[in-house]
Amino acid sequence: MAKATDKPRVYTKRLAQAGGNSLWLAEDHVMQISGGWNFTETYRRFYFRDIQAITERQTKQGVVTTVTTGGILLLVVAFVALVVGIGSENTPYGLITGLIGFAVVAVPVTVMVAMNGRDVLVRFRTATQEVGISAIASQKVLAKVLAEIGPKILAAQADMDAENLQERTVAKNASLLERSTRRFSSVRSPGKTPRPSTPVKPMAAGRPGGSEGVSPMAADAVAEGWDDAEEPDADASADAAADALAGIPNMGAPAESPAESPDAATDDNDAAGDGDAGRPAL
Amino acid sequence: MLTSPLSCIKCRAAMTEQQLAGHMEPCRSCKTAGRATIFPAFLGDLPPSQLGTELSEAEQASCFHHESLSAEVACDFCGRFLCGLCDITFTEKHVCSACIERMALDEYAEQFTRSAVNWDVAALWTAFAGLFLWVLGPVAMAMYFVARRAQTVAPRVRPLGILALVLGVLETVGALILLLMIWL
Repeated sequence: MAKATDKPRVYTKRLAQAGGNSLWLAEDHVMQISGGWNFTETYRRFYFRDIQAITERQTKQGVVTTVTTGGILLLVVAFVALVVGIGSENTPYGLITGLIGFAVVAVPVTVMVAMNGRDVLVRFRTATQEVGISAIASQKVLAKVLAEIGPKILAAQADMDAENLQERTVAKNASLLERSTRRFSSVRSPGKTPRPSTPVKPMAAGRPGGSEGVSPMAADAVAEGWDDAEEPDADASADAAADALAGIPNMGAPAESPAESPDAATDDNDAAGDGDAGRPAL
Repeated sequence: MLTSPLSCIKCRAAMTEQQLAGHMEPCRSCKTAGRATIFPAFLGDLPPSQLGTELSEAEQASCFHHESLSAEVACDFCGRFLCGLCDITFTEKHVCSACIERMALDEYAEQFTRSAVNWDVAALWTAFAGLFLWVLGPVAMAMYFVARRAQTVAPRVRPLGILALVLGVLETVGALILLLMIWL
């Protein structure tokens, strides 16, 4: 119970709740509580001034959970009804048990699971990390959260240059992508010995990896999903594709630029660090 | 600093222009619908690390912790002079490391706490375990009272604690009745 001598609480408003995770609002930041159903809970704070972007994607986790829960409950109710029916040697008792179980247990629980099912995955991006926000499970809740904290974030970042935000965002994202692609192409695959240089045949437009004569590293690189590096050439002719591939350092040759390696190692650590923390499993 | 582009949460392919503009569009790679809400901080860079500047004049004030570095700012809480290395920016205030440690234990504890024991939930789980082992009933009751006194960062979920208390009381009473019956 709150006493008169208690300090006023920092976190008074809960923005979202999903399972044991919740999102709370403070004056200049939001805090996610994880593990609310466990013996210990952890706190993670995101200051409004640090939030660069909020990304989301749709998911069908809620549908899968609902179908699975409903199916399991139906089986359990049917099994119990069968046992009661056989045990009492009177089929109507089993039917009645089954109907009661269905109406009282299976349907309400399934409906509750369906209403609270997750249909969106959200991440907050700051300068140093991207963290999944498990507390936001539905698009409706996300819209409410954005309506609440969006203006506060903009107010906290009012002194930052926001002119032509959209165009500059696209340009910056493109440059980050180019840097990542360039960095990735210079990484050596561990455990593989360098091969003598082999001619690289142009890949079929729009098809990732796998063509004959394409070096394994290039094929792996494309298979990893770096389609954007190839996308400008997806619709181009085979000659344009060959020109693009010629720009990728030959994987069979030793590194031409030793200075690339330390950066690659450092940025690999960055890549490993961002995005994995708090990433909700599908 | 993050150097990866804004990308699809599922397949990590870079987002399209439409997605970056805030429209729910399918990813170019995995076709999952997604989008991003961008803020001005995305365009900024982290400030360069402050290492402190050497004292250039004898009369210049030096840092409290580094005699050879010049003071650039004073701590907003204790007034100590701080160089660029010692200055910690917290909620737009300049703070020294000693004050940060003190604040973490004192008036700003709620903003520094990273984890805590969830006494309400622990009491409830203990009460559930006590359904099979009635001696845990008093333990669950004790945990409830600890939960009541414990300072929590966010408001407690009271029904959990109350349920744990009720179960704990029932188990304790049941255990006492059983003991009496055995004794008599």
